[in-house]
Amino acid sequence: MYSGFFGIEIAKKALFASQKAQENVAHNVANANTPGFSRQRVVLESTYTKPFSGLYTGTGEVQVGTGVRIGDITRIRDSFTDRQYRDENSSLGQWSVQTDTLKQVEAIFSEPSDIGISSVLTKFWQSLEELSKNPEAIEIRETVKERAVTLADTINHTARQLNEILGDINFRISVKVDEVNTLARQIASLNGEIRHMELTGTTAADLRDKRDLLLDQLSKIVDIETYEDQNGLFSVNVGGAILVKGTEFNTLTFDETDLAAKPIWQGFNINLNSKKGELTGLLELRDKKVGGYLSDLKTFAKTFANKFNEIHKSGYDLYGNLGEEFFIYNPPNSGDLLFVNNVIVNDVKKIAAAETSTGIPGDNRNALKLADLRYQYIDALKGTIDDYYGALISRIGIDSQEAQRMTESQEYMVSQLNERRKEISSVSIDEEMAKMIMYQHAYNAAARMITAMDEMIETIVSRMGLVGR
Amino acid sequence: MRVTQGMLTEAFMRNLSYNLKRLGEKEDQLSSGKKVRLPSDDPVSAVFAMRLRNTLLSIDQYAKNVDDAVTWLQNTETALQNTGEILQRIRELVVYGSNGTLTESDRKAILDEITQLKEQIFQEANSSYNNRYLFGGFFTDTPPFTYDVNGKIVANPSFIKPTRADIISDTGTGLNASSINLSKIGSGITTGEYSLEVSNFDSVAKTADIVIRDKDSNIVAQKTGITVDADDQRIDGVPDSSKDFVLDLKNFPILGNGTVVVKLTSDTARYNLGRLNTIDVSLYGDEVFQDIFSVVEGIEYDLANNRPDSLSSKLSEIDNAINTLLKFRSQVGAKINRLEATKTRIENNRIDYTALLSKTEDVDIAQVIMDLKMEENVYRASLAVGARVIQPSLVDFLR
Repeated sequence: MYSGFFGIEIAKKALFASQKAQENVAHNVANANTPGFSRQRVVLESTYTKPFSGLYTGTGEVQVGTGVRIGDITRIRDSFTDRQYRDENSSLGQWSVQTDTLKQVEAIFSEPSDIGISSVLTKFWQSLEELSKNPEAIEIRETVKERAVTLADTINHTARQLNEILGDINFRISVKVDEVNTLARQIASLNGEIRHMELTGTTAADLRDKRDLLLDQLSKIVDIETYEDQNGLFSVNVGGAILVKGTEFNTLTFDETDLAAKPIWQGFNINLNSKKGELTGLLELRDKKVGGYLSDLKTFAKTFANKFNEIHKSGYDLYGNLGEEFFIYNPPNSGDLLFVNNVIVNDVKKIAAAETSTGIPGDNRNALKLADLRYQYIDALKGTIDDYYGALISRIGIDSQEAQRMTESQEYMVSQLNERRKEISSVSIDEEMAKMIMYQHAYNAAARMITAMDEMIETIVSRMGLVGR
Repeated sequence: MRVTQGMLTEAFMRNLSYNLKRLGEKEDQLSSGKKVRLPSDDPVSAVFAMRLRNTLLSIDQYAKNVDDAVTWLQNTETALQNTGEILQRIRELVVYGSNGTLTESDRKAILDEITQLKEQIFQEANSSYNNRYLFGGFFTDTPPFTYDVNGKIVANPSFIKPTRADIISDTGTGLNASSINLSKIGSGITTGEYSLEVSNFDSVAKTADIVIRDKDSNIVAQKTGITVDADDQRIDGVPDSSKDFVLDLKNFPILGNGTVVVKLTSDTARYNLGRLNTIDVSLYGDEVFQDIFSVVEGIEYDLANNRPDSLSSKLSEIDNAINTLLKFRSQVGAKINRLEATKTRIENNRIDYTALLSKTEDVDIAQVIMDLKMEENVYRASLAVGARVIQPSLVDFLR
């Protein structure tokens, strides 16, 4: 037999448990809109049972309950959805980072329009046609020169802007590399805190939420894999290399001044090998896309200049001399692609419109040949000059369209997965209110239990033994 | 499925911005009138539109070329027509002048008129358009005909300078037309056929001998021991350097002994009428007028020296001259006809390509307005939904 006070003890435990649970409801409601927060649940468990035997029990001992306690406060979260989310988020980062830049590239080329290279080039061909009709006319030669200068300027301007974009991309890569390093440091330090807090076997729910939020951010930049072993050692790998392991982390370096540089693991001299994410997207943009367009534009300008010069040099100018270089491709120390030879800019009579020196000034055959270059199949370009340029524009269009479509579909995927995560983890006010009522009733009931116990003891203490007094 | 307030808000925001984006796209299309504004809107159509624009610009240029060619040829035709009328008048005067009853002074009077008429033909032969001589061939800046010291009309000597070489036949030399360097050729070499005889070809020493003969088999140039695969091989002219030939053999070396017949001609100006479609528009004055002037000068001589018999024999010559003129006139007329046909084709092309360009890059206004209205409705609906997203929660119903 034991004292009746044990019932009060059980009820007291219930009071405290309900109070804690109620506080947990308050925490959830308070964080209903906190980014990355997952709702938490108190894990109530009954305390140990006490074997009890005595006068009023049966043959053996009975197990008597001793009340309730709070086993843990856990967060409700599905790590599988997290993994899926981060996977798709990497792809989203890879494409979305390219979309704006590619649109910018399209704007630089400004095709189809009346101001793009294509139109300027056509106007140049037209001026050559006019030259073929009036090979002796100085004013027409001036037009040819002016249109050639405009063409060279337009090509140079486009190339300069592409180069600027390449520089911008490199700057963005270095910013992203810094971001990865910062995130790695934060994750490593959180790892330490979480491990410390969880030594007792409970869950550090809010710190884990914080870490998951950082991982979400990291997943947009690089393609990550995360592991947590049974001892709670948490690691993040990027492309097979360790970024974070427990409280240790590695850093990436990047040389912003080098347009061919790749992010490198500091201390290992190994290139970062990430298959998805913004960094991969930016590198792809720099090396394959914008870099590719620039080199195509260079091929275009170079081949055009060479072929044009070849014909021009085979003809004769108004002085009866063989033509000189008309265009100069990529002169040293200029930084620009194409120039019209100064000799021709200064004296348009040096434009070689005649095929023979004896036919001057009316011989227009070389001017016709120059105008016909437009239709000439050029092996190096696998087509005519116009074909090659058209193929470049269609490549830019297709790349940009692909990036836009992929971004759109990835955005949809990511938002779907985010919805899945919210379905599981986000705070529902209605639900919390219901719990609030539930815990409130539990609290009230526990209080009522104490009153009842109190009354029972009072019965024993105050009311008993009065008979016969 | 568990649904929370946060999810509703996020889904609403996502859909609203997506609908607004689509509305924006339609507004863009309607305000610009273009379906394709950036290549990424539709890469295939964008590049196609770019090409069509260029094609249209080229068509404009070809139309201009055709107009210029027609104007040039019409001016040429006018000059030829005037010349024809003058020749008819001369013929009448010749018929009259060969009449045996005329006195010497009568003939002198006719001579005065003939001289005036010759002067008129001279003016026609030297007529110009846009400061360019119509009958100058490539030499548009010099008058095709001038008076020499004896008062005779002579053609611009440049006319007989060859500007083009064509291989007529070859018996094994492998010589290419472009090997004949026309710009370095001697001033005494005129248009016509020449035969180049290669002998003593030595494939080891890479040398050969060469003899060049004109149409009448007279030797014009010869040299022994030229290098068969080097540029700037000068064949010394006979009797002097005015008949030099220069061969550039580096790209097309001589391959063996043989004879090659080359035709040297003067080219004329050609205009582009389309892709790889050209027409030659200019005539060399010497081909058209040289015979006429010599006939007329002969008539003048006969009249001045009072030779009615010889004068009457000039009638057939003047008929020949008129026929030659007619031949050139019909050539010019045929070219104008061809140009007019080309012009019609170009105009049709312009209409077709403009329609195609419009179809490729312009929006169908009715369609876009309908789409825009649809998108507007969708957007309004999503805004209306937004007003309901913030629903009362359990909080509102708890005491």
